[in-house]
Amino acid sequence: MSFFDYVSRQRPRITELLIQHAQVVLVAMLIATVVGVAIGLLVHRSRRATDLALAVTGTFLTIPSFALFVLLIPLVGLGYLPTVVALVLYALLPIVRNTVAGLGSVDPAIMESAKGMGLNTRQRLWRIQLPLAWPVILTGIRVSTIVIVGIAAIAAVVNGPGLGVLIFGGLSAIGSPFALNQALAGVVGVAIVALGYDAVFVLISRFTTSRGIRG
Amino acid sequence: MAKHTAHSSGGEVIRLDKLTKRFPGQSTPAVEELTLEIPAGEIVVFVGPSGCGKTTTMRMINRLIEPSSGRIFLGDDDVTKINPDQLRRRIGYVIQQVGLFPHMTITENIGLVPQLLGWGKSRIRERADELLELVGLEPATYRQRYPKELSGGQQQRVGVARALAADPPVMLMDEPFGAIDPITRERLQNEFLRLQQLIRKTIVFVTHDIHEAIKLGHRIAILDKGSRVAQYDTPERILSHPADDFVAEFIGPGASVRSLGLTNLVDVELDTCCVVELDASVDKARAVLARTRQDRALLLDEQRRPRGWRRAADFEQGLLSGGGPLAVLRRTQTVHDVLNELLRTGDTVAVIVDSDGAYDGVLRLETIMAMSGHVSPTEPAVRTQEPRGEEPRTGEILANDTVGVRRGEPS
Repeated sequence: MSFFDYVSRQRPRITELLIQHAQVVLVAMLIATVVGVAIGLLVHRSRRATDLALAVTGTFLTIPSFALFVLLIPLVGLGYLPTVVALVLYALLPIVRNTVAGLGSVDPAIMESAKGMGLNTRQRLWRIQLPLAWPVILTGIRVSTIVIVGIAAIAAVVNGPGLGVLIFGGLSAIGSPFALNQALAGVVGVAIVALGYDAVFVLISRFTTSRGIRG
Repeated sequence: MAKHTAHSSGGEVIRLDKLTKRFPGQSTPAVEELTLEIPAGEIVVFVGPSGCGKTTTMRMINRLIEPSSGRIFLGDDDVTKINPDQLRRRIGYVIQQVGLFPHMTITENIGLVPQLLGWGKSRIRERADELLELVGLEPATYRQRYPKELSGGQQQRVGVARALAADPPVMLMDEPFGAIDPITRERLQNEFLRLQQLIRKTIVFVTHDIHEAIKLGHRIAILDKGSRVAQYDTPERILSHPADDFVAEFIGPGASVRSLGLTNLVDVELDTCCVVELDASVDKARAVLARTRQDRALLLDEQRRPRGWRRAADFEQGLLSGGGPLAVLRRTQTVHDVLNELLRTGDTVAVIVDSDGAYDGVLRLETIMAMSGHVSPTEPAVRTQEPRGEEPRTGEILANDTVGVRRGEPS
């Protein structure tokens, strides 16, 4: 049986897993964006706080994903929840780092003139600093998204949702006639989700970045 | 133009009272006990070597730096008792790096403070267009552009327009033209002076360039270390009567010549000379020369425009021949321009004409020497804010001209 025969026969199941996969990444990214940008905003004024935040979020990335999922079992059990928690932890570093970098890259003269014009701290942040840092922050979110689309495949080891089910299912049944096709379908599916998200980011970037600061 | 003035509230007086700023970890204060009054509607330039505390002083006025002690009054309000953000919306602020918001259009940049003050959209749009016109940018072309699509000079025009958006009584300008090429800078300075005629704001202008200070300031405060006021006076007085060696050194050599550049021909009493009109007879011309014991006469055409000098000997060939190069200047020019023209032509007498090019009088080198580069010390020249020297006082000067041959006089 060819790969394409397998895919067309298993289509509803593959589609369902693909949607699950994309969906768990979306949920994790929404949480990670809010948390990561918030951490960035809190720490960016202080060199030491920034170093601390980057060290902690960086540490998450150094833990092998397989191990992290397993380590989370005693804390949050199996299934959907540990998947989201682990993905959020992995997504934080690029977002925090780019938020700090983006906010720091705003020309001090621009911030000074904003202050001199009478914008208060909140107005300076929301009207000036964040919009100007946004392209850099968005790049961090995009990198995180692509990274965790791949890592989400590992979630199957803790009974998580997504295309990992196909990959691990295939690997554990190696030798059987459909094992390879099944794993391959999972891998290709992950790539499709990643490319899909990347395309979405191109659009988001177009619509949320002022023409005045687009390259 | 009246349209613009209608939208300007004019200026407010600024008083600094024993203003002091000590930065932590520095033994000497950056600004020490500075007391200064900046009159409403005037341009006061703070000038001094780098590190003298001029920018620190300026930034205390809008509380970007908090004073260690002393007080600042804006009109009757003690600045230190006002919410800093509210205060800053009453003070236009222009900096060297301009600091336009790159993600906003020109209109959005100008409209930001009005928007914070709760103005309606259409009022903001109108105000932005009005200000763009005021600073010499065509609104239809520029209102929807982004800062990156503008040249440095255009960006600073927008910077000035943005500072004026909510019609603040006071403007602080920190080396606004410092990063702009010399030709554009000169043009912006001229336009800035013209603009100030219309808006009459109280302007504190910081620069390290004494030439810029002399050109723009109604008054100049020359600051030494710790913002010690070495001299606070009009440009004319500072050039002609530097208060001490520090000021003299700071304004540099050539101060006398430069003060001539501030002396407008409108303000100078012209000399007279012997004039002959084209339709006068040669005999008459000779007679006038003999009577006045002058060795040459100025030939005027039908519109009383100077045609050249004529000596008695030249009259042999008729009135139209002879004569060398002529130094002709308009009354809107300065004594400095006269000197320049005399050097160029090698003459010692310059002919001054009115705006139609008609003879108004002459200025002799001896007269300029007698001025010795000084405005009369008993009468400190207070520069008025009227446009300088637009209307020569023709009648008055011609009345002194008793030697000339007048048209219609029987010959």
